[in-house]
Amino acid sequence: MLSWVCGRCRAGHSPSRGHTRVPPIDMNKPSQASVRTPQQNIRSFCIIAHIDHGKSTLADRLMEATGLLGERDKTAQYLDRMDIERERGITIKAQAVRMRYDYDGETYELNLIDTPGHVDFGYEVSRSLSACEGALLVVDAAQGVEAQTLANVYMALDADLEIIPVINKIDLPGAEIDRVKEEIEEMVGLDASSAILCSAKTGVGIPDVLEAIVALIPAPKGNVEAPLKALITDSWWDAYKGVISIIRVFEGSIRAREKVRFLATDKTYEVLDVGAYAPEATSLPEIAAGHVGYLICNVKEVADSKVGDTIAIASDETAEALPGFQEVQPMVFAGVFTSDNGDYPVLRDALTKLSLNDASLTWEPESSSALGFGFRLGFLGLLHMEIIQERLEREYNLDIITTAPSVKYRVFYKDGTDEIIDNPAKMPDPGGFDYIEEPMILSRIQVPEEFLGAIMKLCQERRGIQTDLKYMTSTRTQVTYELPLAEVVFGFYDQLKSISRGYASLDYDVAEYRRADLVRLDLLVNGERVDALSLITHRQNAFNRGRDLCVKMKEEIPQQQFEVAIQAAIGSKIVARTNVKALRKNVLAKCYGGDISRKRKLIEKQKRGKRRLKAVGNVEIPQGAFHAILKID
Amino acid sequence: MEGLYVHVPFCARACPYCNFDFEVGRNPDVSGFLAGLKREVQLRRECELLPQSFQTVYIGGGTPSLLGAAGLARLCDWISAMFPGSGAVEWTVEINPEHATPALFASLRAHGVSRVSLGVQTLHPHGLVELGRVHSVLQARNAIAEAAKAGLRVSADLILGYRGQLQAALGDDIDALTQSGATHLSIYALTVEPETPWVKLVRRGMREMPDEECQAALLRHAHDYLESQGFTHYEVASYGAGDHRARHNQLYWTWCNYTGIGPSAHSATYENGVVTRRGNTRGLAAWLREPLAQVERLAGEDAAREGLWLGLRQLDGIDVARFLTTFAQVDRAWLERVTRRQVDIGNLAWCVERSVLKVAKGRWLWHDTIAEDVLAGEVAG
Ligand SMILES: Nc1nc2c(ncn2[C@@H]2O[C@H](COP(=O)(O)OP(=O)(O)OP(=O)(O)O)[C@@H](O)[C@H]2O)c(=O)[nH]1
Ligand code: SF4
Ligand SMILES: [Mg+2]
Repeated sequence: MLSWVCGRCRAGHSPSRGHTRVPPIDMNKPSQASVRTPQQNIRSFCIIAHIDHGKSTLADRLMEATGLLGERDKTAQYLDRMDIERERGITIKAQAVRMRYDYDGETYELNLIDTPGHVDFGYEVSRSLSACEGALLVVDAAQGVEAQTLANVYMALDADLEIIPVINKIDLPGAEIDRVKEEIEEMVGLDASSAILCSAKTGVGIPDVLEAIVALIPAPKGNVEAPLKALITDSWWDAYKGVISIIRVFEGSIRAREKVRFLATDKTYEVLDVGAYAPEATSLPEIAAGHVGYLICNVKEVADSKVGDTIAIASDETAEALPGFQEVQPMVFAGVFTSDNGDYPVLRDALTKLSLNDASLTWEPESSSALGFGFRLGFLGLLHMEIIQERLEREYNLDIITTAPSVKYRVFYKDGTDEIIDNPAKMPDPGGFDYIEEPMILSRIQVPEEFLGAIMKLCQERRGIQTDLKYMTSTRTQVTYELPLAEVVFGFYDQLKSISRGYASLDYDVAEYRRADLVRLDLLVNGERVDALSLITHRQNAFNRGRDLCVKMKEEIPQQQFEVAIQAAIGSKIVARTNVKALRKNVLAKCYGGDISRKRKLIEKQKRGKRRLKAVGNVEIPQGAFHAILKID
Repeated sequence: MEGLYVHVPFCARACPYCNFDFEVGRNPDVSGFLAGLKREVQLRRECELLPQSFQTVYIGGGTPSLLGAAGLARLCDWISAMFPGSGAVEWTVEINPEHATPALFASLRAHGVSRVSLGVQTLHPHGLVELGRVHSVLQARNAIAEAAKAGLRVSADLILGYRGQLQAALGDDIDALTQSGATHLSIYALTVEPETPWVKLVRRGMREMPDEECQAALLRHAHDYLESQGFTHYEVASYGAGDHRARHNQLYWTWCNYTGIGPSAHSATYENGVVTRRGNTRGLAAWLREPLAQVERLAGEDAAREGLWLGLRQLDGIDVARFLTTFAQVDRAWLERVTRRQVDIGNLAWCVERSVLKVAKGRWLWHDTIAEDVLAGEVAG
């Protein structure tokens, strides 16, 4: 879960920054929160789809149609409030809004949750689903059903939601409504005859979407008299109020000054305030079953108010948790170091602040002989990693070096003990352990038939084991592979896309740990191991990896006064080598009176350019070299 | 010791690798130039203290010999009149071989000049063409001999590493220079400055960028050969026979004051560890309008770092005690910290019971690497 939304403006900036340029929602009307909607007039739903199929744009249209967004709020993808989301045009963080919709003489309260499409943030989707009774399944009329479409449908079905298929982007010249309907029926197994056709761009079909929501999605049914049961769907840290959580009350009701218990952490708190965002925070006397609102207790850290946790009355000792709670686990790990060692405290502060609002980000101190002191960070996936890197650089003005991503290995020793290792540098030498297990994923890849061969070859090269192959339609196939997560972490997704010219889509679930013949490959520079460049690879790939890494390093390491030997080794065995020739001279011609200032400045400038070099023994290695490892595949 | 540098901003033609400040033309306006110098000296006497006299004088350029014997005589007389008694320790004039005549040397001698620096550059006809020089090999050798005969001490410049230069011939070139009477050599690798015609010529395929490896071999060879011939490699680019040193140039590396007049000339004063550097306006016309351009002041560690770098140009090193008196803002511990890395990797060495710090034997070829650390390196705890 990624929750770094500002508690005051609900915009996605970190606590260290000001409020973003996104205008607040214009509400010239009296606060909607004060209107207590009867349960049968509430509809809670989320919008799910494959990445880029138009969820956030559809949310814009719905908000406009219900008057929540005025003419002057017209920024595209209004709910993508973080700078990063806006720049990349993707949703990272699920966002909830409440809308008022008048239909057939009745006033309905619509709780909409826009979800991210990227697989890294799948957990955002799953916990959004549990707060809803229905889901709008958006399918791009030109792209059709893709891997995340399916993955999200299965999640929605598991959560027992009413699913409304919405075929979006019908304005596109490439729209193939009939084909997409067929795909929805054949691949997803939903009745597509009543699928709503719309364009979130032009606004066509939007009233139909709203009507369908009211007509098809069931109202919540919780018993207001029963003991309290509420689900945390989001929480973030607010500089003024501490941790604020969004909750969906399923049974009973919750009020200020009550004592409540968070079941996962088994901690008890006093409720300080409850209310609703409509869209400004408005205190309410209570939040009753079926409703969504905010909760403020004296919780100190976001990590104590876990998304997916259940809240009960403290005295209710037999309370059972709502199903589906799952701790998010980081999957990918990398060392993060500052270029300038003096920036270490800034990095520590930055991580403290980032993790206040992003409970899925883990970090602990790490030290490297090449890079000095830094932190080992755990991420949900590569996109999450990229985003955190970017935020550290941009919001905290840090110049950082990130080492190659790794996964968590389980190392079993001969004495029967075992250990989890997420840092290749810490992996014991061959012979120093009994065996290693690595995490697997179960990936479903959807691809047009014509690219199937190439994709299968790619998966085989990545040590994949095919477990299933089926035709979803006459031309679209889905292959299922068990793949080592580590193989997917290095450029797999990019290759998948380029091999299939963008047509393949991927979804995966985390699977078991499996034994594999893995070795630690070290890179030595003039005989010294560069710990930050060690990597773990399958023995059969070690030679090629070693050779490629040596070649890349040769390109990165500038000539020095001495010849630099570059070697790749497994334990004490050298598997590849090359060298960088010595620089034969580095001396300015003459230096007389008139040249002094100019030459001094020239030398200083040269040195500044090199200051970021990291010394390993006598060899100076530029920062870029630490990314060389990412450039091989 | 204080020195005077006079920049003569005229050249007959532009050499393709050069970015000095000069005007191209065969008939320089000597009177106008002298008037400009006079005005500059007056201006500077009003706003700063100029010494009454200088121990060393250096007339450089540009091409001072383009002024001719008469023009140079006027310039020398003017200097002696402005700064009486100057040049007692050394008075050098840069002479292009094509301008050398016995009469010129005799006249220079008569006007107080004690040393000439000859822009020989190479003793190979194709090298002269490559470098765009107009003199001949014979002119160069004769120039040295004539100057020596006139009783002048002779320094010659040699450029290494142009296309087609042969290492095997280098020893013969050096022999030719020393046998003709040169007792001082400035030897440096061809460096191509950005924004010089050379860069364009390379693009048109008419020149090549110098090859570092080949230059390194040539520099090393020249070094070995000269040392075997009894020359002392006393500064990165300077070799002297016996006790011949470029006394004026040494001021630059030993934290001494010097005054530069003429377009683009630089001056420096050291006072209580603070270095003040003044740069004159570039370009004759601009300088005539307004001679003084920028002033730069270095203090504290920055001044000390610069002093260290310059001091280390001299290969017998810096006298630590003198360094610490000149730059009293730093102490021995600082000096050790700033130089530790270079000492560790063997580029610098302490000697004479750590009273002298110098570039280690054979490491002068990496003087810039040393300079980078000394000038801008991080200071280890
Ligand atoms: N032509 C057309 N383009 C649309 C329509 N709906 C969305 N788009 C465009 O499709 C792109 C993706 O839209 P988003 O709303 O950001 O998609 P999303 O599903 O929220 O994407 P993620 O949150 O990253 O998964 C944007 O460039 C939209 O402008 C539509 O109906 N017609
Ligand atoms: S090298 Fe000397 S002669 Fe040639 S242009 Fe430069 S200043 Fe003039
Ligand atoms: Mg979106």
